[in-house]
Amino acid sequence: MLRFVLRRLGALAATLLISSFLVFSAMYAAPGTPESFLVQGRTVSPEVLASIRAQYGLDDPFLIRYWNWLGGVLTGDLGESLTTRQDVASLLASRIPTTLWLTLYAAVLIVVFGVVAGALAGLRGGAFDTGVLLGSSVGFAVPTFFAAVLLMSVFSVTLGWFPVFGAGSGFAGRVEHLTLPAVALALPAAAVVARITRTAVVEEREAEHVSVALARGVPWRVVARRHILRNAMLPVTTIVGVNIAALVAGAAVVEHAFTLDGVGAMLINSVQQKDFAVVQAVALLLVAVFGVVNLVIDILYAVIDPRVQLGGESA
Amino acid sequence: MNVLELDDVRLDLPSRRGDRSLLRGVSLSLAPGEALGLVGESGSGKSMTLRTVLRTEPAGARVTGRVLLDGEDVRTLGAAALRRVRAEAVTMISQNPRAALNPVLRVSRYLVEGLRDARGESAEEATRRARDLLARVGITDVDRCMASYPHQLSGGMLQRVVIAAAVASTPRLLLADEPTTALDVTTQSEVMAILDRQRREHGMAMLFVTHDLELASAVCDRIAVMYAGEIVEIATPEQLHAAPRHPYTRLLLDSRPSITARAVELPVIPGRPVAAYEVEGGCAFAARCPWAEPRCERDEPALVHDAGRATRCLRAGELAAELAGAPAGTPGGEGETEVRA
Repeated sequence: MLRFVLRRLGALAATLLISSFLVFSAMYAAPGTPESFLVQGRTVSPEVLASIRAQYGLDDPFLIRYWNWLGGVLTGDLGESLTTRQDVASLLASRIPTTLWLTLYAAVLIVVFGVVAGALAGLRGGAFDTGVLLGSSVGFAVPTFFAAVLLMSVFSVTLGWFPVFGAGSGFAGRVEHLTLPAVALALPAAAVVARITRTAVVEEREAEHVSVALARGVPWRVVARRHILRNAMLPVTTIVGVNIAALVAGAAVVEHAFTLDGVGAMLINSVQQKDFAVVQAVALLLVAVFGVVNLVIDILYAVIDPRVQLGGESA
Repeated sequence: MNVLELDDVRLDLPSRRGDRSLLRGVSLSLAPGEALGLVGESGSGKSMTLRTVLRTEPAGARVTGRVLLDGEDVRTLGAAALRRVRAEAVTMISQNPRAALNPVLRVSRYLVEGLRDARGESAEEATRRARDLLARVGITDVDRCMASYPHQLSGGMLQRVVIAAAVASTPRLLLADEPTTALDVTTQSEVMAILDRQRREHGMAMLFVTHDLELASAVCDRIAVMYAGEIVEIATPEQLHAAPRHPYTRLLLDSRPSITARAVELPVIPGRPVAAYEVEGGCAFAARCPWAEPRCERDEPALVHDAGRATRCLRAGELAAELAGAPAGTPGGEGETEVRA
């Protein structure tokens, strides 16, 4: 198990290294240069431009620049924002709590509503099943941004139940402020999870070992829990993991719509302003989160399915 | 009183093109401790007959007739009473042990579950008994077996586990649905021997479904031959082998490979097996029967009981002498030419 985790961590590090290169080079491949942003359209003498380029090391060969940046990242120095001159690391640190809250809240919603609704639909069938199928189609079809606007206009503006913007502080404040954004963020993922959970449960219900257990006189409640739901959770775990990992990226749209000061909103702003240092840091962070969540899911999967041979053990 | 009595059991399965009849009136009885073999081709309804006893037939199936277990009709039992019957009185061994066990749970869980969750025994008692049961079906390393997941055990080992679980409640009746078909030949005989010994030790009656007439003859007291959703002949293995009374039984016996004679080509029964829902009046076997007469296509034969055996053939009386005798492939075998025709 330890060897498996270590190996996966090594793979994660390699992934991060490769993506760091891609992230860094993608910014330079994009049209527009950072110095043109820095001078903000003013006409400046070539001497000033040259001094700016020298200050940010823009004249160095590409690989040298990458190497310098990577060295900084590894020592915790993510550089300086081109717009605010602030330290990117501390800028990120101030933004992370809101995004973390938002995505965790959405993840809880996905698990509670997606998995529970899907499982009940699969076990019960009938009208509830049809309702879940219908609801999941709608939930999946509605674009996140539209859902955000709709939720705001109904629950904030018309009913006045929730605040329109801001991330709140303290537990109650966070919950109050982030409920609508989290719902908007969780909606499509919860819909997918509900549908896949339902399918998995229905499939597992048909399994022979389930009818064998029933034919042995094992009570239905025990069969449903131990044989149907437990086995159905295998595919569901994967899909929940992928969806939760994707939330971090999806948060950008929601944070923008609800004007939350999270990492996602920061990403959008810095892309618009060509704030290279910030965009690179955020992109790398997204990749890291995705990798870590997937690693957790893989370990979890190995724990719940004994047939999965962990790489380290089979060798 | 008989342990099991099936009285005119019919089963219809609704399908897009109207109802499909799978069982067309099966009647049989099983005395305490008796082993009855249900033999027939695929689709003849033998497994379906078995499933009506525990009410595990496919969803939507309509079953009529009575299934009396110790005189009580299991078809009319409420959910709680049915669960008690399943937990205590009747157990089933299915064809593929690998599909019968939950792949993500340990063997110990499977065994203990049947004792604890189904019968309400305490955890310690259930575990102790489970270990004891495994030892009795010839598993030497009980600890390892208990801690194994199904994919870590061989098919033969798994079927022993299933047998151990099946005899755990010392049921009155054991339903065995081709319990050795999924196993390789050497394991087959071992598992069959264990099953037979357990059955005799506990005095359980057994309804044994197989397509292997030889196997059924070896372990059963009586054999019921099924064709197209009904029983066409019931007799002891000795009677069947010496003098089958139904043409289908005769042809089944003839199509077995002989151990002594080397056949160039095995005789096969002409035509294809008819499904129960395809039968339209007359004898179901008439279309494939070399002895069929015009009236066989017209009149439906009844299962006629005579001196401890039963036959469903209009010409049973006239054909008795012709059908009897050694199987085809040995010199002097009667009906040989007809089979090959």
